[in-house]
Amino acid sequence: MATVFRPTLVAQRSLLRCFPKLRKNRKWRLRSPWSDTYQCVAWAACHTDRKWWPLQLTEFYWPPNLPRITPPLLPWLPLPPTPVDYLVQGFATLGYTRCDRRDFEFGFQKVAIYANDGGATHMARQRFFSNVWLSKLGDLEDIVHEDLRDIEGEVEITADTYGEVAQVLKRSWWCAITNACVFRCVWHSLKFGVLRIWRHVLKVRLRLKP
Amino acid sequence: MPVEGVMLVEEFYGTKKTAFRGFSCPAPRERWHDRNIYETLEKLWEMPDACWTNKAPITLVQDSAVVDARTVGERFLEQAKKLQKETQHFSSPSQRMMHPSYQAILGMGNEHPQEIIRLMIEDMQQNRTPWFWALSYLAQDNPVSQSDAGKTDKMIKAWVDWEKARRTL
Repeated sequence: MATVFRPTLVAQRSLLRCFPKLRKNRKWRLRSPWSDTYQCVAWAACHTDRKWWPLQLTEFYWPPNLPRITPPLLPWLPLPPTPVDYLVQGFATLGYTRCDRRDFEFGFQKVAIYANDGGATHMARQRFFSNVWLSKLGDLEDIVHEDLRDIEGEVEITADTYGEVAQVLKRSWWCAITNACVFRCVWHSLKFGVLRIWRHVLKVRLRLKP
Repeated sequence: MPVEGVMLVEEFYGTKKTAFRGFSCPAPRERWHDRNIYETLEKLWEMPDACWTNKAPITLVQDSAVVDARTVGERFLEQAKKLQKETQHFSSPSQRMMHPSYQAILGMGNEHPQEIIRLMIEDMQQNRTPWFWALSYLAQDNPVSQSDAGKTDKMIKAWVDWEKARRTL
């Protein structure tokens, strides 16, 4: 199944196991079901139909005519680190430019790139007209969290975490509207909202049955 | 000349019972294990030889036999499950592909390529584990078109069709 509605407690438990900093800040919540059709970079670009990564493999999509990592000939050799600049160049095609401030700025939408010693690892997107962040955590659910530090970890490669925020990018709301990003995100939220409600209705019906 | 208030060493550690500022130091006494300790050590020292003669090392052989007795499929499923559990929160392909379980499965693929290709495609159908790069290396082929890049459903379908076509041939 591409999309799986896991019980909330099970999903929260698995996320807390992977991201211990979320335990300290309880102001986060699940936003979508488990899905492997897209990941964090695609979600930061407001796409939910394919996976994005600057890697020269058919497993990932990346805007054409932009630099990508070339994988080694043998799959057991380590992949070269993903430079943060490659992601910056990719998101420049969506209207994003470099920015120094992490906090909310009226009229602008932001994305953050996380990186550790092994290169870029994750991306989070600021919600429209709001100061909270949206993160799709690999194949797991996407979450809304208040602070970018909630999912940060150690910078060493061996720690197996997202590392720290390396770069923040921003674009104007007008640019987001012209790129149809707002429409796609609202559609995505509506779709999962309706699915969640429908699932609850089905549950009630099943319980009512003798 | 001894300093006043300090006892001489010979006086304190004398063979006879000596009192010093209310603390009594008993004369040394032989304890039961002093006599038996060497016998016990000798017995312990002989244990490995006894184990060899009593076929104890067979346990080691049995362990390795158990490892070998497991089929490739069982080993593959174990590693694939571990990989899925430990890397599902990563988006970065390098973090996923450098996982020891991924490397272990690639190692199995070198030994039994045809069986691992079949298992990978089955695993993709059932659990949607992304084996695309490993598959294209082992099969020396890539049926996924550029327009379907990144679309998991279509890529899985392309590989399943490829497997079907290969079986019919």
